[in-house]
Amino acid sequence: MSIDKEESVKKLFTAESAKVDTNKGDTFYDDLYLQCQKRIEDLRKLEPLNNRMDFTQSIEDQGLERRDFLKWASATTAMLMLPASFTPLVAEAAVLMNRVPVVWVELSDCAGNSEALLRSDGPQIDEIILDIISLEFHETLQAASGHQAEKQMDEAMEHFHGKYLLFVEGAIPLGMNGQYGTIGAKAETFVDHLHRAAEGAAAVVAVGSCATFGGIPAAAPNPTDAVGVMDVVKGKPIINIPACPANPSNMVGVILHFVLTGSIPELDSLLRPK
Amino acid sequence: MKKLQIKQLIEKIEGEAELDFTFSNGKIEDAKINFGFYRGIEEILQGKDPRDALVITPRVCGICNHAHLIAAVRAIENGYENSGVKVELSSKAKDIREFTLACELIQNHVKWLYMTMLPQLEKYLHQESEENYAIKGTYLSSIITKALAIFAGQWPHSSYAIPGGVTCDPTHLDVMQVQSLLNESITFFEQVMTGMTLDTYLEIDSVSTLHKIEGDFGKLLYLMGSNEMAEIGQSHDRFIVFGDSMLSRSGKSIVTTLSKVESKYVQEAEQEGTLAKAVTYKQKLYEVGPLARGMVAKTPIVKNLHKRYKDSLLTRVFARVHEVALLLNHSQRLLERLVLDEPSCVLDANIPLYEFEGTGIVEAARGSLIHKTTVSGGKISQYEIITPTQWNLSHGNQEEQGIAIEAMVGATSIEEATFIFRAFDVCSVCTTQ
Repeated sequence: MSIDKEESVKKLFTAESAKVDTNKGDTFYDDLYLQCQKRIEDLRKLEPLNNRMDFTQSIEDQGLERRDFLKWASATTAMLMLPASFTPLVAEAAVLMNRVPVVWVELSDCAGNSEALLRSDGPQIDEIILDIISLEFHETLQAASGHQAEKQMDEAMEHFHGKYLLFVEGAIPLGMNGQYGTIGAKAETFVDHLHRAAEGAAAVVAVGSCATFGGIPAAAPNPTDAVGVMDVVKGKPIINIPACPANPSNMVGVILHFVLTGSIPELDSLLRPK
Repeated sequence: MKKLQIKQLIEKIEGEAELDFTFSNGKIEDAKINFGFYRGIEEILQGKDPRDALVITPRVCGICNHAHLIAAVRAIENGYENSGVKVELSSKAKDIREFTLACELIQNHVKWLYMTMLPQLEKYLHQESEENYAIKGTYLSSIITKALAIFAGQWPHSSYAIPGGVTCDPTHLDVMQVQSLLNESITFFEQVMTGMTLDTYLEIDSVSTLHKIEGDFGKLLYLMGSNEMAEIGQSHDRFIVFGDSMLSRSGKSIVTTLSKVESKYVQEAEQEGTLAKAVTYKQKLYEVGPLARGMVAKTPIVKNLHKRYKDSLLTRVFARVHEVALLLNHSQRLLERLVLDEPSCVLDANIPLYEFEGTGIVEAARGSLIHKTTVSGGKISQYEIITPTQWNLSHGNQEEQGIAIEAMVGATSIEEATFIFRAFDVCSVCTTQ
C-alpha cells in the first residue's frame, strides 16, 4: 500500500463522521424514551402481520428462558448505544417485531447473507427474531415460488407502501443496460427491480459487501459494471451493513432501531450504522 | 397434436431459474432451463495473484463456498506439483479439510431436505402439515456449521485453506467442542430425522428394510413411495465422479459398468439463451451428485434401490439424504484419528513460482466441482470453474436432452416437473457465476 493510500484509509476511519456521541444528555434520552414508548404503544395496537409466530411462544419452544432473553435485551440496548433504562423498551420492541414488514430482494449475489441469516452459532435469540420478523418476501426462504411469489411481492409492496424495510442482498450490474441480471418471467433487470422495490420502502438496508459497495462482482475489471445500492437508489434513507457475510446481529439491530424509533440509526460517512 | 408452451419461474433455490416447458398431449416433451444472471467471476480472476482465488472463488456460492475454497487450493497445489514443488500435506491438514468439507455437505443436504423437499412435497400432494420444517433444518445446519467454523473461522466464505495446509492450529479443547457439536448433530439425525441409531441406520442395505426408517426421512420416503415417485424422474442412467473423496473414488458408471475417468476430457460449451455453460465428458452428458457417488462407490442400499427403481426420483432423493449418515459417521472417524502435533502447513507463504497450470477437483454437495488455474508471469491468465449444476442442468446436445430435462420429460404437470427439478438441488449462482 502506498503512503497516499495509507493516509486516505486512515482519514476514512478517523473521520469526524465515524465518531459517536454516547452521552447526549438526560433531556435527549428522556424525550427519546417517551417517543419510543409512544411508538411501541401504537405498534401494539396493530395486528401481527401474516400470521407470524408469537415471540414469547417461540423462545419457549427453543428452550430459552426469560432470563436469557433479558440478558440479550440489555446487550442489544448497549449495542444500540442507549442507556440501560431502555432495556425494557428494547425487550418490548423485540416482541413487537412481527408488526414491521420486511421485503428482501436478492440481486448479483451468492445468497451467502441469507445463509448467514439461517446459520450463525446455535439457536440464539437473534436468529429466532429473524424467524419472527415479518418477512413479507424473501425469494430463497419463502414457501411460495414462481408466479405466486411474484404476486406476493407485488402485493406486499402495494399493501405496505411507504412502511416496509427493503433489505437488498447483492450488487447491481449496470453494464449492457442491466442485462447481466434479470429477474422474474418478464425478465425485469436487477436495476429496474431495485428501483421498483425501493420506491415504496421506508428505508433501504444494503446487506453484505456486494450490496453496500459492489463487492466481488465489482472487483476489477468489473465485467458487469456492478455497483452498490447507494449508487443506484436516490432519495431514500440507505443503511449499509457491510462484511462478507454480514453479521445477523447488525441486521437485527437495524430492524429493532426502526421498530423502536420509527427512524433509521445514526450513520457514518459510508452510511454504516455508527 | 396440441403443443403448449409455459414459462415457470423457480425460486427457493440458490438464486433463481426459469423453466420453459413444451407440453404435447398433456405430457412434458421438452424443457429449457435458463438463468438470467451473470457476474463474471472467471473474468475478475484474470490478472490477479493466483492466491486471490482463495478469497474470490468461495464468493461464487453462498451454500457451497467451502467446496470452492478447497477446489481453488487444490488447483494451486496441483500447479505447484506440476512445476516440481513437492506438496505433501500433513495428515492433520488433510483430515481437517476433509472434516470441514463434510460439515458443509451435511448442512447443505439437511437444508435441502427440510427447507425444500419436505415442504414442497407436502404442497405438491396437498397434504400440508403444521410442521415448522425451517426451524428443524436450521437447527442441525447451524450446529454443524459451528463445528466447521471452529476450524475454518467462519462460514460462509472462509479462506482458511492455503497452499500446503490450513491456517488453524486447533487445541484439544477445540476438538472436544467440535466433538460435542458433532454428537449433537448425530442425536438430531437419530431422534428427529430417522428415529433410529446411526449404527442401525447404517446397517440398512436392502429395499425391503427401508420401511424401518422413521422420523422426517421416513415420512419423506413413505410419501414418495406411496405416490409412485419411484417410477418417475428417470434420466440417462449415466453417472460420473471426478474427485476421490471420503464418499467415493472417481469413476463413471453407465448402467452398471464402472470405468476410469480423466478430467482432461471435460469440455465446456456456451449455450443459447442462457448465461450458463454446458459440460460434457467425451461429448456425452453425465449426472453428477450424491446418486452418482453412490453408484460409483457401489453403496449397497443405493445400488439396490437403483436395481429396482433405476435412476428415479426416489433413488436420487434417497442417495442425497443417505450421504448425511455416511458423512456423520465418517466425521467421527476423522476426529478420532486427528493428530494435533503435526504441522498445519508445510509450504512457505511465498513460493517463487510464476508459471504453472493446475487442476483442483472436489466432491461438493451437488457433485464434482473442478477449478483450473493457468498462471503466467505470476498472475492468473485463465481461470475455469466447472460446477456440478452445469452437468445436471445443461440443455443437452443434438443426440439427447440434458440430465434434468430428460428426468422431467413425461411429467404430466408443471408441479410434478418442478419437484423432479428440485431433487437435483439446483443452484443457479454456481451455474452462471
